[in-house]
Amino acid sequence: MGTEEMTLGEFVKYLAALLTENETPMLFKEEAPWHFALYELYDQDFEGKPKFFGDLKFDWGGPFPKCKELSRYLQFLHSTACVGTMNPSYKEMILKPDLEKMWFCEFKKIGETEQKFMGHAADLAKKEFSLVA
Amino acid sequence: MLEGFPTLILTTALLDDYLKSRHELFFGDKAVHPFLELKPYKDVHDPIWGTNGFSWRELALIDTPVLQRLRRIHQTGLAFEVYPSARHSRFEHSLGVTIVATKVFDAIVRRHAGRLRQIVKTVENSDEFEQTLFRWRQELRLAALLHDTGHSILSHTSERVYGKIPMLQAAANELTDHVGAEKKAGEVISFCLSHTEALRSYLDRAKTKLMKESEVPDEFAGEPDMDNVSLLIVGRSRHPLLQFVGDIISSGFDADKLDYLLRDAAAAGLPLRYDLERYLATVYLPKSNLTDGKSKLEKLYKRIGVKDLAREPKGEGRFPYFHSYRLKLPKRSMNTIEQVTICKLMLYSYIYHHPKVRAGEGFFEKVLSWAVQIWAAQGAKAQICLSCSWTLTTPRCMVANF
Repeated sequence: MGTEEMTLGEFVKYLAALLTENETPMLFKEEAPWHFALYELYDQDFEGKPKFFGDLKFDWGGPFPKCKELSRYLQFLHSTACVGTMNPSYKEMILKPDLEKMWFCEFKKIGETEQKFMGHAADLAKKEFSLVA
Repeated sequence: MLEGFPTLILTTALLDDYLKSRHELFFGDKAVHPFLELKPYKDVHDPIWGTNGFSWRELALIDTPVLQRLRRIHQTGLAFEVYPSARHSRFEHSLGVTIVATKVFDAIVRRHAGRLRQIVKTVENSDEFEQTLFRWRQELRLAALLHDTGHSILSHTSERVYGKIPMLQAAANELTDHVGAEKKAGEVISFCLSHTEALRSYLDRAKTKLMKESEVPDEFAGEPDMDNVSLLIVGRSRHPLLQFVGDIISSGFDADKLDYLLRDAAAAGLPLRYDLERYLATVYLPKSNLTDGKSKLEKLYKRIGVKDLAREPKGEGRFPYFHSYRLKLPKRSMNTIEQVTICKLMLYSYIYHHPKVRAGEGFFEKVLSWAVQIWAAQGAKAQICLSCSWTLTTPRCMVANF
């Protein structure tokens, strides 16, 4: 699969798998760092940036630039039981181990440039999460 | 106000022409409506919210075909095929949103009178506190009534089809740019409708039909600013400090959601509830920053003529921002937040995403897409496709359009 074909849903899946693999706690209740990371990726040039970034829309007016589509994906991870959040008050999302394996395997199959881009995205997300924690 | 947004101007003009030609007696040159004298207010009974008053201006608006067509639009699409009693319409939902929005506004006024006094001074440069609040309340109620007027047959099912009409796509992009938040085709039509000269002059004319001998209760007083009503429909307001009013119409816990959760559940016969009393007892207006990284809000406020408004530089934050007040629920309302969230999840799972409902809607969506393709193939321009889509309120209307 070429980078240009990657969808936002796949991006979220790979990112969740990568962050879990790196043992980075993924925030759930505090959604802002996810959006800050996505906005930064949207705003910067990076080799292998998927095409869908060009179609993203961010809502201004809140405490952070909010991408509704990303919010929906994060909620879907929860409502489809891909992640657990009862720890005990929705602070973090924990990816199910079998999904982590499966999504990480999928991630390993994408091209090198795409993997580099995802690595960069994971670093950015990690930095954003650490600012909140 | 819409300078620089040609498609929004075009859509507004198209809807204006449509209203004037199709509903001459309401909006044409020789309009006669409203032809009866209007009572200062009337009580309307709602199965969810009980008896509530509607002002003469709202009654005039409710009487127009713009609102009346909502009676024929099913609130939950084809869900009635699975839940036989879910036959409620966008019309009663719009009245319900008006009632809930008012409850939220009044709760805020009770809790934050001092803060609102300051906001009135800053925004309006006026000491007429109560009159100003009555006007804002009236604007909020009109926005609540008009917020769903962009819907067509079977609500969101048809929105997915006409949202693909290129002109509406372009208009949605322009509206997103105009207000700095993502907006869809349905909101474009509601927004543009509230901008039409036809609707605005109808409301002006309605004033002359108000019974002279009776007094309008204070709560319904105030001459609304229709430009602000348009902004409220899409969740914005004409000043950053008034953003909380826009939040009542469109935000995470807005009046729209508060109404449809209970109404849809009740109509389908599902025992889902949340604690509105607690919501009203705890909802508050904390100071908040209205971030504006791409200067979209700054441009919006300039376009609508807000004076002496300075955007704060980014400072410690990452983006420039305006000082604002947002509608929020405190931590101690976590139970209510959970109830609303669970209620929504259940409704999606039981009704909106019920396999048979989705199958039916998928089928209908294909039929409607096919109809739009036929209009296009017959040489109809995007404008005609738009007016045809908006005209559709029942399958019979759809057949009549061929």
